[in-house]
Amino acid sequence: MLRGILIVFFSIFAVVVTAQNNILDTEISIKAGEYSQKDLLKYINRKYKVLFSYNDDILFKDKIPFISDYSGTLEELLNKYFSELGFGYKNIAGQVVIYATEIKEQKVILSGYIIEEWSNEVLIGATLYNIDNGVGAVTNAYGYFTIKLPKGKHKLTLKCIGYTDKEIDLTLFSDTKQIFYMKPVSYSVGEVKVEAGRDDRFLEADIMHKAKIDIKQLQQIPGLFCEKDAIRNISLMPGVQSNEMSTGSIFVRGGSTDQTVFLMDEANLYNASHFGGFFSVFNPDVVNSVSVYKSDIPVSEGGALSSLIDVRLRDGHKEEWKVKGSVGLISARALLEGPVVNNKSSVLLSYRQSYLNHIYPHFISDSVTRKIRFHFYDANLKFNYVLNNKNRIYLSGYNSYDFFDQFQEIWRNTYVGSLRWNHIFNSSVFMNTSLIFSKNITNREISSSLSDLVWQSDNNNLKFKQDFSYLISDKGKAEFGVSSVFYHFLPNVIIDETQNDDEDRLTSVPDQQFINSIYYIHHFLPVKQFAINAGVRGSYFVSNPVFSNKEYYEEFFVEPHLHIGYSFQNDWLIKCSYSRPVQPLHQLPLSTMGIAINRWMPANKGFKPQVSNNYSLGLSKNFNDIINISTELYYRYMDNLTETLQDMRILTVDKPGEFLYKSEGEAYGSELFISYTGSRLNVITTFDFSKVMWLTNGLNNNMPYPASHVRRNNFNITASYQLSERWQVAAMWKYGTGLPYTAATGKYEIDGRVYLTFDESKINTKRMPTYHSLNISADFEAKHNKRTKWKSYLSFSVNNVYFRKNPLGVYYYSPVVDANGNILDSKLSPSYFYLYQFVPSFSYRFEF
Amino acid sequence: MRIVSRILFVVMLPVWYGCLEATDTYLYEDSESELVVEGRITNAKPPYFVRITKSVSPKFENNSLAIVSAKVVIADETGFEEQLTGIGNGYYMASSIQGNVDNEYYIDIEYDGKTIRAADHIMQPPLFDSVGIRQLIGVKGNGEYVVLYGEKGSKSKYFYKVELTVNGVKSQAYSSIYLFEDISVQNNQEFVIPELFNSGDSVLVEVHSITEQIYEYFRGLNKQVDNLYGNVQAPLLNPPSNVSGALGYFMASAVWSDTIVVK
Repeated sequence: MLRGILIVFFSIFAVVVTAQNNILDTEISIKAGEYSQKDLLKYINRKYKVLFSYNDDILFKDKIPFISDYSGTLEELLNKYFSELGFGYKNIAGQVVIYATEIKEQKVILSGYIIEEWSNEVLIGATLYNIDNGVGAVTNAYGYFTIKLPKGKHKLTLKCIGYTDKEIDLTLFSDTKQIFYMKPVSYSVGEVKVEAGRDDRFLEADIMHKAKIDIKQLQQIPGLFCEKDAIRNISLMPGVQSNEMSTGSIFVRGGSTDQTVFLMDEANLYNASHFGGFFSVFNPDVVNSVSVYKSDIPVSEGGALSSLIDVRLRDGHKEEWKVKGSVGLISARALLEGPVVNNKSSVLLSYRQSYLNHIYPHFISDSVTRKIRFHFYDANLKFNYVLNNKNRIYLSGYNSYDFFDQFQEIWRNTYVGSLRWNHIFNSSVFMNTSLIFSKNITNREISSSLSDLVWQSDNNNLKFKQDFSYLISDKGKAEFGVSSVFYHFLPNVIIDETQNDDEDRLTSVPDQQFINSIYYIHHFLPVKQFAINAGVRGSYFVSNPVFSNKEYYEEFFVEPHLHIGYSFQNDWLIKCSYSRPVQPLHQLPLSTMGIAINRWMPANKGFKPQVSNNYSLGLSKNFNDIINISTELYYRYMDNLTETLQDMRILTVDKPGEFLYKSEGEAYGSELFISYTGSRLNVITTFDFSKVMWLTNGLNNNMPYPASHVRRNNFNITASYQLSERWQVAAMWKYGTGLPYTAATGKYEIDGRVYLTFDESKINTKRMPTYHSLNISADFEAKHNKRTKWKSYLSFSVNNVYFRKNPLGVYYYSPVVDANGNILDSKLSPSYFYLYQFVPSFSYRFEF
Repeated sequence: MRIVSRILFVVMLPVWYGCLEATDTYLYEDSESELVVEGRITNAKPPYFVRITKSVSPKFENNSLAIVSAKVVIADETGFEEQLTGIGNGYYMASSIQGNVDNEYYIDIEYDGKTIRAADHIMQPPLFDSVGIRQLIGVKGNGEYVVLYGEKGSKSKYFYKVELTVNGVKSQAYSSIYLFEDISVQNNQEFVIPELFNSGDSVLVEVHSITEQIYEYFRGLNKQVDNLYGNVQAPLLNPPSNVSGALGYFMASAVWSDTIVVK
C-alpha cells in the first residue's frame, strides 16, 4: 500500500467532460449486489457520466457487498467505500481523482459461525486466525465466533481438530457476518495440507486447559464390540485413566471418579455409562464434540474438582433428510435427521438398543456370571430453530433405561432435558440462556410370592444459566454470566408391597443444595502470540435450604484461574496455569461391578466443599502439522476429600457422614503426547507418570498412602492406516503399571471361619501385575450407490488379542455356588479379577 | 413394619461379573503372628468359653495355632473374677462367673509376657418373641425362610447378631453371620434370615443383643469377605476390635433363643 502519496498518474487517465458545479453532489443509485471498487467507478462513469482518475494497481480487487440497494450522493459513497479504506478523492477540473492516503486504522467486527460442510453442524472449538495482526478467535459451544480486525484485506486461517485447515482471503469494509465451512479430514492419499505458519498456536492458550478430542480419529481406534465410542477411549489421553469397568469412571490427574463431571449439552449426568460399563451413554452417531478439561475446570461451569467432560450433541442436518444405522454383535442403533424448515430448523432423533442378553452368556463360562441379564436403550431428540439472524433456540431431550438382573432386578431411568436460547445483541455481544433439568431414578427390587420389596433413589437437579461473551477489542474479550442450580436428592425410599396391596413405605429425608454463582473471564492478547486467560467464579451455596430437617449450612467460595500461553518461533508453545476449583457436592461412590450406585451429599459443616489447588506447565512443538509433541507437568493439592471404604450403609442412613473418612490428597505427574499425521498413517503415542498420595484420618497410621485408583505409569500407542480408499486398519496397545492394593499378611480363625490379617501401616503398598492389551480393527467401506445415496461400512475388531488376563481387582474370597449358579457361601481363595480375554466382534453400519 | 430387616436383601446384595484367576504368589505377604481372642459371656447360665489362638502365615496349611498356656481371667464390674480353665485346643472355660444384663465384663489374657485386655457390656435382651416360617424368593432362591417377630426398642438402639444351629450343627458359613439393627423400625419388626431350609430341618435360632462395637466388629469381618471390586477397591482392613493388642473379640451379650421345625 502506498502511503502519503497525494496524486499519482491522474494526468494519464484524465478526460474532461461536462462541466458541473459540484460533481460530488451527484445522486447515485446502485442495486444490491457485489462490486469491486473498479466496478463501482466504471458503473458510475457509465451511468452518471462522472469522470474518475485513478491508478488501477492501488484499488482493492475484492468485491464489496451491497446488502440492499444504495441511494445517496457520490460523496457519501466515496466516503464509505473509499475514504474509510485508505483512499482520498478530490474534484479537480470536473473529474474525481482517487488516490491512496495514510490509512487511519479503523476496526470492524467479523462474526459468524464455522460449520461442517457436509452436515451444516456447527464446529465447536475451531480457531480462526489472522497472521498479519496476530489475533484470533475460537468458536464457542454454538460454533459462534467474533473477532475484531482493521478494515481492509485479510488472510484468515481456519483450523479445527479433525478438519482440513482452510485459508480464506477476505476484505472487510464494515461489521460483517460470515459463515465459514470446513471439510472433515479424509486422510486420503494425496491430500493437500495448508502449510501455514503455526504462530497461531497461542490461541491454544485460550483453550489450553481443554483437550478437544478428535472424534473421528478416536472412532478409528478399535472399540469393544466394534462400538466407536469416543468416551470409552478417552483414557488414551495422557493424564486420564479409566478402570475398564465402567466408561463413566474416569480418573484425571489423580482425582477420584467423583471428581469428574459429565455434561451432555450442558446437563449434568449422574451416570455416564450403561450397566455393565461397556458403553457410554453417548450414542456415537449423535456426538458433535467432546472436550476434556483436565484439572482446570472453566469458571463458566464449576462444580467439578478434577475434570469436566463436556459432550455436545449434533443438531441435525439442515438441508436434507439422512438416515444412519448400525447393527453389531450386541447392540443396534438408528438415527434420523433432517430439516424441518430448510436452513432454518432441523431435528435429530436417535435410538439405541442392546440385546446383550442373547450374546453375553456365550462369552462367559462362570455359572454365576451367566445368570446375569442386562440390557439398555437410550434415545436422543434434538430440535433447533433459527428464528432470525439474531435468535436461535435449541431443545434437547435424552432418556435412557438400563435393566440388570442377577439375584434381584435393578433398573435405572435417566431423563435429561434442556432449552437454550442464543441471542446476538450485536456483532460484539453474544448471549446464551439455558434452562436444564436432569433426573435419575435407580430401583432395586426383589419379588416374592408374597410381596415385592423395592429400594429406590431419586436424584434431580434444575439449572438456570445465562452466559455472555463480549468482544471488547481486537486484543480482549470478556465472558461473564450467572447460574443457579438446585439439587434435590432422595437417597432412598423403601417400599414393601404385599399381594393384598398393603404398602409399607420408609422414606429418607431428602438432601438439597442451592448454588448461585457469578463468573467473569477475560481473554487478553497483550502482544502478538501471547495470550492471558484470567477468570474468577464466586459461588454462594446453601445446603438443605428448605423442606428438609437436615443440617442447614451455607458458604461462599471463590474459584480463581489463570492461564498464560506464548507461542514462539512459529511452532513452539509454552503455557502455564493455576486454578482452584471447588466442588460443593460430595459424590459418595459405592460402585460394585456393573452398577454404579452413588449417593450425593451436599457439603456440610463436617464435610466441607472439596477444594483443589492446581498448577501446570506445558511445552509443545509442532513440526509442519505432521508431528506434534507436547508435554505437561502438574501438581495438585486436594482437601476435604471423602473416603467411603465402600461402606454400604451410607445408602440407607440420613447422615452418611457417620460412615465416612476425611481425606486429603497430593498429586503430581508428567504427561507426554506425540502424534504423527501422515497421508495414510496416523499414530498417537501417550505416556503419563502420576504419583498420587492420600492421607486419611484413621487409616495407615495417619500417614500418606498410594491412592487406590491410580496406575503410576501409563503408555498407549494407537495407529491407523488407510490401506486403500475403502480399507482402513487400526491397532491400539495399552500398558499400565498395576493398581495398588493391600496385601494380606496372615490368617486366623474366628468362630470356625478363616479371616485374613492386614498390616494397616502398609495400605496399598503392593501392586497388581501390569495391565497390557492389544486391540485391532479393520473397517471396510462398501462401494457407494450413487443413485440411492446408500453408504455402508463393515467393521471387525478383536479386543485383547493375546488373551491377557488383566488384573482389575483383588479377591481373597470367592463365591461357592450350586449347579444353578446360586451363591451358597464364600471360601478363602486368593485371586484377582479380570474382565475378559479375547473379544472378537463385528458391526455393519449404513447411511443414506 | 417388616421393612428394616429386608433392606439387607435389597441393598446389600453383591452383583458381579467377570472372571477370577486364582493366585497366592503375590497377594500374600508374611508378617509376625498375632494373638487371636474369641471370648464370650452371655446372660445365660455358664459355662462360657474363650478360645486363644495365634494367626499364621497365609501360606500355612493350618488356619491357626492353638495357645494352651495362656492365663485367662474374666471379671465383672463388682470385682468378681474367675480364672478360666484350659480344656485343650486353645479353649478355656468359665464355670462360676454369671453374666447379667446391664453389667460390664472384662477379660485379661496373659501370654508370653504380654497382657491383653478387653471389655464389653451386656445389653438389654432381644425384643423378639417368636419364630415363624415364610415362603419367599430370596438371595438363596425360592423356598422356606425363617422369620423372627418382635418389637422395636422404645428407648435405645438395639444391635443384633443371629446364630443358627440346624439339626444340631452350628452354622459356620461366612454368609451365616446375620447382623441387623432396629434403628429404622417403627413398630413391630420382622427379621427374615437370608437362609434356605429344607423340610424337616430343626432350626435353633439364637439372637444376641450386642453392643455397637461388637456389631461393628462382625460387620468388619463380613465386609472383608464381601469386598467386591468396584470402581475403586477400598483398602482392606482388619475389623475394629475391642481387644487391644490382639485380633478377635470379647462379646458380652443378652441372648434369646427359640427352635422351629420347618414343615
